[in-house]
Amino acid sequence: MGTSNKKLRKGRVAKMFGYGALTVGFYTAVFANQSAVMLSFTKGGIFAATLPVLTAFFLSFSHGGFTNYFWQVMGIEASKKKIQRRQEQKQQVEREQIRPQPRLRA
Amino acid sequence: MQDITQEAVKFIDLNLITIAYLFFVGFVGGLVSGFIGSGGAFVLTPGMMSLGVPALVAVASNMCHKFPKALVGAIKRAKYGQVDLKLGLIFGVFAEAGVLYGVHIQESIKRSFGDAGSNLYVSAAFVLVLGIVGSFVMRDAIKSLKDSDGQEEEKVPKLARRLQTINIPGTMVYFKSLKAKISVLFIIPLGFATGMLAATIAVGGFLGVPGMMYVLGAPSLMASATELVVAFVMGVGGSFKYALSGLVDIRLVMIILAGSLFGIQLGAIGTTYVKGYTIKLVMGVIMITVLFSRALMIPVYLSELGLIQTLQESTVKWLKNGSFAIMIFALLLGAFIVLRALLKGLKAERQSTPQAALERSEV
Repeated sequence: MGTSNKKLRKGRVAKMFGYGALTVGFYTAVFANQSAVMLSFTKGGIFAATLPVLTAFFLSFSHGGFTNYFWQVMGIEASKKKIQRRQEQKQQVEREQIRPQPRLRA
Repeated sequence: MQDITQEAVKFIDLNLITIAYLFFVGFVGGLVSGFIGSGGAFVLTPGMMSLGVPALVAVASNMCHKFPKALVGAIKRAKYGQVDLKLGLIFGVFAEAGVLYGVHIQESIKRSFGDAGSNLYVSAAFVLVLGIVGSFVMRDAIKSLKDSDGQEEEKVPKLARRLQTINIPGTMVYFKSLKAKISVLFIIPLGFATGMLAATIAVGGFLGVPGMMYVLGAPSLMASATELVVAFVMGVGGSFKYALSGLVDIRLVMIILAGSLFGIQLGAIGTTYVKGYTIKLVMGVIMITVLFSRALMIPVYLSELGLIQTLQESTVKWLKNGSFAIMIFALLLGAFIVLRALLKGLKAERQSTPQAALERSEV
């Protein structure tokens, strides 16, 4: 049990650093070239309008991934009891739905 | 719009204090949004304007930070089984229409009555909506707190039960959050009003979440999570609209996002430790407190429009500062309740599962 937990934690730390590096790299690139970035992002028109939207999407992936693993590594996670209870309820509903119908075979 | 753009695009210089301020407000806003589905962004527009950011750039940048935040929050809460994607998408489409109409109304009022008229309209909408909906949510939160007695399931309100029984052929859709079918025709006005409110006061969720809870019959945990999907749909469209005119300051967006994505994860985690009434309580407390903040500003705008006696400059300054301070207090109060609930829940779970705590300390 202890070994698998250690592996899990190592994996999370590695992912946190991976997403973190990606995020820091992106922030550095934008802020180091802020004049050029602002110029092209605020031109207006369809092409320039997609740039801030795509940037925001990319950040939700990279920084969102980083913050997710950050809190996990810090030990702040969702209540296991409630999640488990919800999954059990969901499985129960699914089981009820896919109950096979009796068929006659000739 | 192009003239306004030329006038508005005077982007501010950033320094460490500005960055730290935006990061912090972003974090607290994210924390509240992750928990109640919305409500964190209303401080950001006035907050950015207080730094010298032009109003339109502040609104556009706020909008552009909201949708990635909502996306991250929605994904997180979907993992906990709290999101009704179908309801969120349908609601979101009508909310988007409401946003477009709301912006149109804002522009018409601004053209006819100027800035003061537009500000008065926004404050009046704040006071009216937050007064009616906020006091209702607060009353229900207190009632639920008394009645809860450890019950997990929330009661479906009478109005929702009644609407769910009305069968309008060709419009009935099953939603997992309601565990029932309801006509899409009842979702249209709710979504539209949510969008209009989002375009007016920047927080559509103050109407969207109570609407899903009391009119459609969704449990508060699912309503608040589904509102994140609605905010995402509204945010993408709105951001693109503003970006077409070059109004988004991507640097502000990125700094606020840096803080708010930490916050939204924490707020979402917090929802797994609480019962539905805590969501209602946080929402009610924030709504009522913000109501006072905006009510303070009404005399200022009435005076600017010449509808009441002109106020002294010192009085105007006092009212403006007081209003902003109450708004920040509302956000901090909400964040405090969320953090308290989260820490209490974490502590209780660790104590109830000593084995898990032991394993955690081993690693």
